Amino acid sequence: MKLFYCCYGGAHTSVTCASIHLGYLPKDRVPEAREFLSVPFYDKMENKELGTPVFMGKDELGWDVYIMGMKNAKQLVITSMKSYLNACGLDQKSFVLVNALVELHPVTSIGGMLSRRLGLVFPGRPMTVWGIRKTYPKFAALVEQVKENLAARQELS
Amino acid sequence: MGRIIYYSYWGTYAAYTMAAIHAGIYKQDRLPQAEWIAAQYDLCRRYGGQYGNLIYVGLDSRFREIYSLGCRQHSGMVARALKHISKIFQIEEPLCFIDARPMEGKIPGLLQRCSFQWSRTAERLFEAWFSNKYWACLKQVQSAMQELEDGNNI
Repeated sequence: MKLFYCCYGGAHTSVTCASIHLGYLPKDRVPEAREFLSVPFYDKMENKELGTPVFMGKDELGWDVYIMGMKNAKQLVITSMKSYLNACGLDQKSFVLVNALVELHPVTSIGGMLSRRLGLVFPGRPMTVWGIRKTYPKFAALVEQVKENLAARQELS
Repeated sequence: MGRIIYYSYWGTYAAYTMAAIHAGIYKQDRLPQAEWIAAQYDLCRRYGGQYGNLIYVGLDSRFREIYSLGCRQHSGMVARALKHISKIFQIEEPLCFIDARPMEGKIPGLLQRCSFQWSRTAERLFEAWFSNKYWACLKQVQSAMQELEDGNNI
């Protein structure tokens, strides 16, 4: 069973959600800036790697958790993935795609563009952290909801 | 065994034409009959605007599944995603992508976007585009098939 957190650049929001999911970041408080910087793959995805799913870890239910950047072509990439897996005869229930772009703070977007597109890690990276800390409870709530859904799925099957 | 995906900005123009040649639906020694061209025009009219959905075209002589795919300007990202998904889900049949973008030209974009869309004029324009591009597509397919025979990863 595979879970993919998807976002624009695969560097900030999807990494944050996957980290909360796997316990690298706390779900009950807003982490300090240095805690973000110690998360694997935070602000690391290169533009030329977009579309590549990156394995982040295995959760307590046994789901493999991946992050993925899809630029502004989320619908296209998701459709092609589903279409391909369907052509290969794979069960659509064996994977879940979650949109991690929830109410993104504009400072995160600007910081992400500075860091990833223009190569200005400073001030880009601290700006992304600042923006994500502002909306952190929304990411925690999203992950909570995802975990509930996965648990319900598991019970049903 | 395996899968070969012809991809371009649109999935039903050059990508489909090349896939159909590869699968043996279109013959290599002559232009397809008018009704086949009309059928592809109809495919463009119905599904030309779809992106990301694999269009199954047929099997080639080595029983590989041939598909066409429209991926707008994101072909690199889609190809990376599908290749990695193959590994993640342990799909062992090889997956090969063949670029049909250089064969496409400007006409498909015009047909998909312009105000005279799907009129008689549009159909004539499609036929002209098809006749004009067919031999170039054929040459490209033959070269791709040769590379596949040689075992090169395209």
